[in-house]
Amino acid sequence: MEDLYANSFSRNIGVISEKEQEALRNSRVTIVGVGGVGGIAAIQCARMGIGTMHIIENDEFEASNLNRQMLSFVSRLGHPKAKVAEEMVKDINPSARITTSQEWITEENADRLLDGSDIVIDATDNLVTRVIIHRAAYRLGIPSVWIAVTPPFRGGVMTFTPDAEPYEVVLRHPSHGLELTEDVRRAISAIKNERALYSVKMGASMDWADQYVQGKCAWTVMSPVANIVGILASFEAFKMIVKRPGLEPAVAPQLVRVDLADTEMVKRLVPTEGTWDNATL
Amino acid sequence: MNHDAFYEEMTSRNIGVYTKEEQTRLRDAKVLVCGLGGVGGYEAILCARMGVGNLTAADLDSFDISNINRQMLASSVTLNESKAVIAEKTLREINPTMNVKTVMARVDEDNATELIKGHDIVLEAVDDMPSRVIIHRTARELGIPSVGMSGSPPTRGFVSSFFPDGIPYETALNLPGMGKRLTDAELRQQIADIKKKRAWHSVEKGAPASWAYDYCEGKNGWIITPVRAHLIALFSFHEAVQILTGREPLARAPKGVLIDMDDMRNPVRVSEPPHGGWDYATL
Repeated sequence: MEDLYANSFSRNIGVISEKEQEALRNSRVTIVGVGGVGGIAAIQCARMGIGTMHIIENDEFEASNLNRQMLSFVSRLGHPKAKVAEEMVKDINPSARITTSQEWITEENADRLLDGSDIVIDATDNLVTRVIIHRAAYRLGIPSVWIAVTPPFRGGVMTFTPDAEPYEVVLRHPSHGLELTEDVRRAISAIKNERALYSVKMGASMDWADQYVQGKCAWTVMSPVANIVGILASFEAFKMIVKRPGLEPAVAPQLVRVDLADTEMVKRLVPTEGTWDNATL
Repeated sequence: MNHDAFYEEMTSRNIGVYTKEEQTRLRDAKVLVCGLGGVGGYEAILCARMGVGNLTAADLDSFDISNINRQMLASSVTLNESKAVIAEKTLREINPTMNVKTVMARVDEDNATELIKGHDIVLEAVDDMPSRVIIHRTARELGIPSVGMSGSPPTRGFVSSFFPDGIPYETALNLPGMGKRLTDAELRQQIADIKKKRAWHSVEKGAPASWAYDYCEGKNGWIITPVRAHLIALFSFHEAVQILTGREPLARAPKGVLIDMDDMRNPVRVSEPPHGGWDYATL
C-alpha cells in the first residue's frame, strides 16, 4: 500500500515537493455536491493524493448528467452519486479514507457535516444551500471554495476564509445577517433568474433563458467549463493545503474568472467596487 | 430507451449554448484521438460525453502505476491493462450510441496515413516529439485539421489548432527538417532532443535542476501534475468542439493557448507567437 501511494504520485514530485505531497495526504477535504463540478473535483483530489475526503450528496445519476459529469456512466444511472464517488476515489487511491453522507445539507445538519474538514468545496447548484454552506464554514473557521458555471462559456472560483469578507457580502446577497425565512430564501433564489437573463447578454439563447425563468428547463452547463471550474476549485484546495509562498489562493473578493469566449480564458480579477454582483457571475 | 431518445437526453444540457444543428454536426463527426494518457484519455471521455458520434482512439501502451496521478482511465484496478481496451470499455459505458474504434498502435511514418484518413479532426495527445510532427504533417496532407498540445513543468501548457490551409505545424513551431521524412535517424534524434531543451527551460521556470539532469540521462520521467494535463485536455477538446460545430477556435495557429498556473494574474490566455514564431524549447 505504501509503495502504491508513492508510485501513484511519483510523477508529481519535482513540481509538488515530498513535504507538500505529505501535507496533501494528511488533509481532509469535504466536497458538497458531486455533479459536473464536484465530481471532477473529487477525482482531481484523489489523483493529487488527498488522504481523507468527505462527500456530501443526496442525488442520483440521470442520463442528462452524462454530457459533463465525470462520475456518471450508463451502468450507474439511478445510483447514488455519493456511492459512485466513493467507488471511484477508492479505485484511484485505495489508501484514501472516504466517508459519504447521503443527505441534503440544511441549517440543521451543516455544522455536523462540515466540522473537522480542512477545506470545503461547495459544488452545489442551489443558491440557498450555498449560503448555508458558506455560513457554516465561516462559523466553523474552515475555508470554503465557491464556484459558478454560467452560460454560455462562463464560470468562476473564489475561496472564502474565516478572515476574509463573508460570502453574502462579497456576492451582494440580500440575506447577509438575516435569518433564512421563506422570503429571504426567495430573494436569494431570484438571483439565479437574474443570472440566466444576464447570460443572454453574454451569448446564451433567449429561448433557453425564458424557459429557465419559467421553470420549464434546466440550467445549461457546458462540459469544458464545468470541468475547468472543478479543476480550478480543487487547485484552490491544493493551494490552501500546501501554503506555498508565491502560490496564493484567490481569496475573496479576488475571483478566478473563467470565460471560454474571451482570449483571457482564466484570469484573476478584483472587483472595482469591492464586491461582485452575483447576477453577472 | 431507443438510441435517438437516449442521445437527445444525454446531450440536452448542451442546447442553449450550442444549437441542435451544431449538436447534429457533433453526432456526425469522426474524431481521432492519438494517445490515451493524461491528455488523450480525458479528451476521449469528453468526446463521448459531448455526443461525438464516431471516435477512433489509438494507443499501444498499458497502464502503469505512475499514470494514476493524472490519467482519467488509469486506476488501481486498470493497472497493466491495455489503454485502448480500457478506453473502449469506458466510452461505451458513457455513450453507448457512439461508434468506437480502438487501434493498438503508436503513430509512425508507416501507419499515419492509414490511421488518420477519413476523420474530420485529429486530437494529438502523444508525448514524443517525432510522433507529434508526423501526426500534424499527415493530417495536413490529408486536408484534416489537427489540435496540438505540449506540457512542461512546473505547470505550463500549450494548445494550438492547425488547419490544412493555415500555417504548418513545423513552421509555427520552428522545427527542423521541414518536409523530410522522419525515417532519417539523425533528424529524428534532433527533433526528439528538443524535449531535453524543454526540460532545461523548465528549470528556469522553477523545476528542479536535478530532475532535468536525470530526465536527460533517461533516469527519470517527465513531471506531469494532474492540473496541467487536465487543463491541456479541456482546452484542446474545446478547440475541437468549436471546429466541429463550425465555430472559430480560440487558438488558430500560429496563435496558441498558453497555460501557466504559477501566473497569478492570467493563468490561461490566447497568445500570438513571439516575433519569428514559437520556440518549442519554451513550450
